[in-house]
Amino acid sequence: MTRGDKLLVLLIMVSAIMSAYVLLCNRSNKDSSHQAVISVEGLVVRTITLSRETPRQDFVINGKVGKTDIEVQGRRIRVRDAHCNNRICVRQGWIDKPGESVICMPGQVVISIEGAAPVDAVTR
Amino acid sequence: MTGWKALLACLLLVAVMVYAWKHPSEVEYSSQQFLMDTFVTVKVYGSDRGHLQQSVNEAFGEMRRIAELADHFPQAGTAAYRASDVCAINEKAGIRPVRVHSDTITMLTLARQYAELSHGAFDPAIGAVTDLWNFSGDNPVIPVSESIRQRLKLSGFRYLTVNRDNSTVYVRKKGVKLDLGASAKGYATEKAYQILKRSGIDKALIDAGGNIRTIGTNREGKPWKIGIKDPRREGGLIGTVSVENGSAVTSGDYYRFFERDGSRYHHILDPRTGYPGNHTMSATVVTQDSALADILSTACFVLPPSEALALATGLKEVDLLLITSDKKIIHTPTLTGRIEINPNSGYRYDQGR
Amino acid sequence: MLSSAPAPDRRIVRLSLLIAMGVALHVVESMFVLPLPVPGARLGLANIVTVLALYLYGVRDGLLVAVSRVFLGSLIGGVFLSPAFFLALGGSLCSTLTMGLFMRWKWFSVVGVCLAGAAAHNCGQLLAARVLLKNSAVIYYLPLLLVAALPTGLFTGFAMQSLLKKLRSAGITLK
Repeated sequence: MTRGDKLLVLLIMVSAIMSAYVLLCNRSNKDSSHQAVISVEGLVVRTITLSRETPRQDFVINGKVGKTDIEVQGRRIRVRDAHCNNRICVRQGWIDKPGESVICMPGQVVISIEGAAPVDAVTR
Repeated sequence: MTGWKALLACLLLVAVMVYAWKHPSEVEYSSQQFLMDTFVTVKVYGSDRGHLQQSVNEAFGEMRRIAELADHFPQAGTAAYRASDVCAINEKAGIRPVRVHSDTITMLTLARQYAELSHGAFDPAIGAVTDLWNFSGDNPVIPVSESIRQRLKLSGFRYLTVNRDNSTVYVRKKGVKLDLGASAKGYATEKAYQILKRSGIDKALIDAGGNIRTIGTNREGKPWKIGIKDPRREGGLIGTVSVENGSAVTSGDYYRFFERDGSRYHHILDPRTGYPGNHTMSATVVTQDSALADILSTACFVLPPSEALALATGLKEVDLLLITSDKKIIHTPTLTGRIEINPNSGYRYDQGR
Repeated sequence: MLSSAPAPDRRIVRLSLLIAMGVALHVVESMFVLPLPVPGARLGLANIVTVLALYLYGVRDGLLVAVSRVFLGSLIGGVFLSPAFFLALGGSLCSTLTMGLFMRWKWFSVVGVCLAGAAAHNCGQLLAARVLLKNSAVIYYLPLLLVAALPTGLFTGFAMQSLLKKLRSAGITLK
């Protein structure tokens, strides 16, 4: 075995450990945070990372029929108030799981949480 | 010197491998639109992004076209009113047959056929009664029983004549109104599916506000896993069903409803009584054709559970899952093995029923 | 008898023998599988005949032996054009090319060449699995496959080292 061979053994071992480390770090990051995507009339207007470290905040989105007041708290998000007539979006309350969404039909505002969802779609 | 050449070649090999990894043969394209009073998502997989995008746009166009034909909401005189076959038919009810588009003929033929088969548990000519309840309005009220009785006389698929040879539809009594709210979405979804299929797409999911139609398998090569909504818990699922090349449609009492004196009044009316059905919280139909699934989910929702199961069992390759008002989950035996029920959902589930 | 034959004929006979041995090893090897989500991932011990072909006749014949071995071995094993076939093809193409490169690099002995070949073999299999499954999550198997490449690479490397020594002393010219 030459010195090059020995270095190669070392290199393979190091890259195995490095790749394991990088992959595990990535995985745990993915588990602990999701993206909330907010869109109006099909166009994304804002994305927010939802993780334990996300501070409580609220902001206003201009929907098709008026203002939609959105609140973020750690890993969850909701429509706190809305100027639509049925207010189904407000009644729906908090969402926090990937694949879940709040849809305000009159305002055409959609908040959806993206990430590895446990199902492909929901029949409802 | 050859050492350095080899190093360069090595780097090239690694670069090729990384490129091959990052650019798999398959890409995802998904798009969302508000259509038919709901939120529609189409997700497709394939190798050519431009082709995927074009196919999805065509599918949306097809859905919009069907939605316009079947729309019964627009005000008289508007462009939407003139575009709607259903509005034209309703306007000429009791006057004369109306020439309509071949899609309207297909939709109404199917609707009439299953209205008959379900003995009126599904009925496309129930517009007079739904208008009375006005669930789509801001302030729904319970109509007085006398006016419901009056309107029931102006409702029923038996007034509907579909003439395939002349492409005409005639509603034989004035005041009787078609309302395709329980079947147009399914038909539009099926037509969108056909567009995608014809353009060669072999992996896709159409989600039209919970009406699901799939092609092939999901990204992992497994059957699409479709969650079944818990009718009483927002965001909750009672379980999942696997759907490969098929459709899953649910009718539930939680979508448009109001409560008075502790009773729930929702938008799925029993065409035979004129009141909301009360045997079932939700009915999920799994079958190939989405138009059929939409119709049958309404019929099975309205029917008493035993009759709903009998209806589904009597049809070929139609699966049904019911969540009854007494919190029981029952389904056709053919669904066993394709569904997973969440044991902590709080509903009673006797396996093998 | 073989040494008295003209060189081109000798080459063809030798390559045929290598392919035949490679097919036998390939079939035996399919009894020990690596844990990948696609069935049929292999250790890469059959690489040993590819290395021999590389040292006797160079990269082109190395590739010929490797590819023929995969095609014939899969036909015999009844997995032709199945996932296992594509894994083996991806693995042996990658490893043959890599070993062809490492051979020219004087820093490495045949042990290093085989080590690099084993690592490349497993990466090639992973790449094939990614294309087959259309799922990038298979990359989580990369560390495991790299570690698995160490023993197989060293084993084929030391086996080749003693074999090449014997060939050299028998007066056979090597690349």
